[in-house]
Amino acid sequence: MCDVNNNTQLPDYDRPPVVEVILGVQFEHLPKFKNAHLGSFWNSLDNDKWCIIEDAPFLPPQFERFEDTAQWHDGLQLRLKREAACRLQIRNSLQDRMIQVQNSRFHFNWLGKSGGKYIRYQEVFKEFDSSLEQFRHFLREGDIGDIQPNQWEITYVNHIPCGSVWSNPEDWGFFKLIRPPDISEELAVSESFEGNWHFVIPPQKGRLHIHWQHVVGASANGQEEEFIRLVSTARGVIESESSVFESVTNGLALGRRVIVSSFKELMSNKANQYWGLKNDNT
Amino acid sequence: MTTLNVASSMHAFKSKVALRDDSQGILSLETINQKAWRETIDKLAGWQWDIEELYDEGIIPPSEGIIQTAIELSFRLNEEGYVAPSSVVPDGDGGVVFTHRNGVITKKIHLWDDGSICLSEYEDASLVRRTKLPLA
Amino acid sequence: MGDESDPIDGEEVLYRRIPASQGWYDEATKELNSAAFHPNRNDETGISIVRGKYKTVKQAAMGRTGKKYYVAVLKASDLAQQGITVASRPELPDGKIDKAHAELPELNKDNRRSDEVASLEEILAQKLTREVLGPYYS
Repeated sequence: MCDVNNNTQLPDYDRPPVVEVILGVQFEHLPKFKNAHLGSFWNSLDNDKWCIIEDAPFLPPQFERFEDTAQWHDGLQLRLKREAACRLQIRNSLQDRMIQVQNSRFHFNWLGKSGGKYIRYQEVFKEFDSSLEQFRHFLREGDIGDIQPNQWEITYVNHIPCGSVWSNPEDWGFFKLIRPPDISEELAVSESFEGNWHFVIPPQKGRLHIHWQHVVGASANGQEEEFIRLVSTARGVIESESSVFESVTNGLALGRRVIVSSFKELMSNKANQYWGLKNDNT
Repeated sequence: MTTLNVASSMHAFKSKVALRDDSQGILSLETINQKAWRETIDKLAGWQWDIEELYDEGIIPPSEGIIQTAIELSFRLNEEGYVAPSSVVPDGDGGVVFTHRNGVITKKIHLWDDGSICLSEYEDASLVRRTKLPLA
Repeated sequence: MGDESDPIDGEEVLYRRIPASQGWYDEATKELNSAAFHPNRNDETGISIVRGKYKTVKQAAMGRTGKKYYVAVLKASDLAQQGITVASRPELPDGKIDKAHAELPELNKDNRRSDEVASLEEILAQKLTREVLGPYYS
């Protein structure tokens, strides 16, 4: 069993720029699960705590496949029947937690936009695990079945405001994947950039996707601000282990390790210091 | 220490993509493969929109139902992460054929006019295997 | 059985008309899809082929007015080597006579879903088509 508390090897920050963390599991479609069950599930929660709901579009499954598993083969299972499936977003009264559920996905969000301090992965995982267990209990009690996870997913959303580790686009070299352009200011001046990077988590255990976006808009505390929105998502296929949920736990732990370690490696020393990097083991 | 292998190869599943939807932090990135599937679906939808374009001497175009099935099939294969076809064409007999070529290996998913589906695999133009695919 | 009074010589060039409307030929990649040789439910006795002895490429390309066509060029001896028969069939279903009309009997409506036809279509498109000419406007 993976020890989710084993972060002795991982970089740790006093003031990380993270504003949202999402832990999720994708699972095989449950034939008996209908949209009405979303409402029933919400009803099975403490409605004093989980009191804000919102419909959202269904998110189709997304698999991290590698060349050998992505080829068409004679074992293809084709399910063509369409369903008008929906996703339900359930927030707590403080609006710093959210459960998202649909047939084939379960996600738990920590929402730092409300201004709260990051509560650390162990706590987020504990709440995800507890909520997921509540969902599984709901499914079993309703004779709907149990989830068969097929992919884990973890996302960290960072907001890096202008005036923190950068003041203008020329300063974006704090993120090592961006190199300031070597061009005369008389010719052209950098204004903005948006891009994506994709990495394989070896050996084909999943992928890390990093999205960089220069934003002028509402920041974590709701005020107008200019910031970099840096989103790191790690996803991987569930490996066959003795317990499927052990695989989910291990997968999320791996994803977290990859995201946190890559964040530190991809940031400049100055930026890491600004965010209060504590245990630099390099 | 965790190390990363930067995917610098010309793999079809890695490289610059566009952010399509950000639903409360669930990042939905469109990879090159998904873009190719989207183009396949757009082409099929184009047939639905203007089926007259497919009418020709001696040709039997696919029905609206078969085109819709082909679209659904495309959505499902895309969602499951399978490789997008190199081409999608009518078979001239009311069906639709998806073809994927990878070197000397060619695979075809043939959606027949009666809705049945078959997967064929060729190596250097020789038929290696042919299987009827069940619908779940 | 073809017209044995006008046999097809091994050196004879054969043409298969390919409607551009179906997307079977990709001009950019020069790829020809095997669907170009797929029989449909109307191909009672075999898919149609045009004899180069009696028609030019442009004549072989004629189809529905206003439509665009390509022409796949094949050689009778190449088909014979693969066991594909070319039968001269000058009498058309409507009773008219066209000396240039021939058929490939092994690819017909009754066996169009067979492994044999799946195999032959691919060989015809990938191995036996010498070149694709056009487009021509009908």
